[in-house]
Amino acid sequence: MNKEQGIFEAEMNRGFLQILVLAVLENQMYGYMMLKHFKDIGYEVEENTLYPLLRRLEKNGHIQSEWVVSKDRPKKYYLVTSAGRNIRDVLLKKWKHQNAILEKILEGEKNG
Amino acid sequence: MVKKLDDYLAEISRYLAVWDEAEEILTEIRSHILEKTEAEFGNIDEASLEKTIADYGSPKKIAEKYLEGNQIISPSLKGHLFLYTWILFAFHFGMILVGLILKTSLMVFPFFYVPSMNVVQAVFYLPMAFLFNFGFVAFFLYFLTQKKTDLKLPWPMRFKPHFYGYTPPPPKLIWVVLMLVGFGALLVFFLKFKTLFILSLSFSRPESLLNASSSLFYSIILLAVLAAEITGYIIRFWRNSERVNLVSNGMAVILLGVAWNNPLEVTFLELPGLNIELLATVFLALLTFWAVIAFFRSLYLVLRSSLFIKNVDTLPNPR
Repeated sequence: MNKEQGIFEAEMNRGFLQILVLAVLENQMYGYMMLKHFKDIGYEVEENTLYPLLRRLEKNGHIQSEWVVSKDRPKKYYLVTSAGRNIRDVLLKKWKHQNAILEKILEGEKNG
Repeated sequence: MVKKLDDYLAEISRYLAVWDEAEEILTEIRSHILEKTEAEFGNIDEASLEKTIADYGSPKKIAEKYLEGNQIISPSLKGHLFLYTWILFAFHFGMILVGLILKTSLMVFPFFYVPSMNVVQAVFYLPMAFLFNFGFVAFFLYFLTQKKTDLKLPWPMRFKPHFYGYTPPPPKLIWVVLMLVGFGALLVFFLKFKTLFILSLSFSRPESLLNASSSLFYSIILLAVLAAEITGYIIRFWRNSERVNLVSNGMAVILLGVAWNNPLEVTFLELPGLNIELLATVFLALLTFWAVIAFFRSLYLVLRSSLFIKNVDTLPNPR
């Protein structure tokens, strides 16, 4: 992937990743667990993208966190808040609408 | 074992300019790195940590990701930074000139203090004044950005800079002819009387306004200033650029600086009811004022074109 493609992809992923995180955090998870989970379902994301995003979402009250000590090491677990759920539903609706528009345009081009 | 991790986190902290959150962010990163190491290598030791850290990315890049959206000065205020700096500098510059003319120090509480200076000192003082104004405005806008206030700052159209580069108006032949005729007349006058400053218009017995050596000195300076400006104007027929104005105005400022530091003794003609020394000082001050204003205007236009305007050729011209 060249640099220009990378920039486009990063821009596109930014919004998608927010919805994804807000959706997946219906179950409590810690950072690396989320990365693994995303990878298992076919979506690779850099840790340096995910962790700052988690921090921003937490700062804005869309997710909450708690430190849990296991094997003498603290792990930070995250969970979506009701504000996060609301925003996720709005974003999801928007995203589906945008997707439908794109489908319509691409279909029109194919036929026309 | 964790020394490498501590060093790595210490380097990240150097770039994390969010003091209130830095410690928590570093704790999080530490936790993420340990989680990853354990998950990928089964155990946490020096070698496995080193590999995870190498894979994790450069400290600077990581810090930048956490700082996204944390602007020093909001992009919407960058125009204000330059505009306000120039307005403040114009005010500061005016104070310097008043201080020069009145030969005194000036202070506007609590920000401006202009010491008593001569012209040469003032020329060296100006860049510092500019930097102070720039820093002052930057600090103010930094404060507004960090407060995330929605305050709408004034944007005075009168001072609005040209955003699309600047080319001086094309020179006109008629002005060149008039300037050359005027300059030629002054030169002939000077060659005949060895001065430009005489009181009597009786060509048979001219009376100089000041002693001969100083009269000669000031006349040469004035002719040199005019020559510099006229030459600059003529050169603009071939290369119409503000840089040409910058050079000719700069030469005029230097020459006038020399005039203010005249090493010769000056004695003025004494006339009842007329203070020639005061008139001469006002004349020289006005000339210097004009030259310094013209010089800094050119400097501003040239600097702005070269530093702040990008890809001028690709921008649409709104005029």
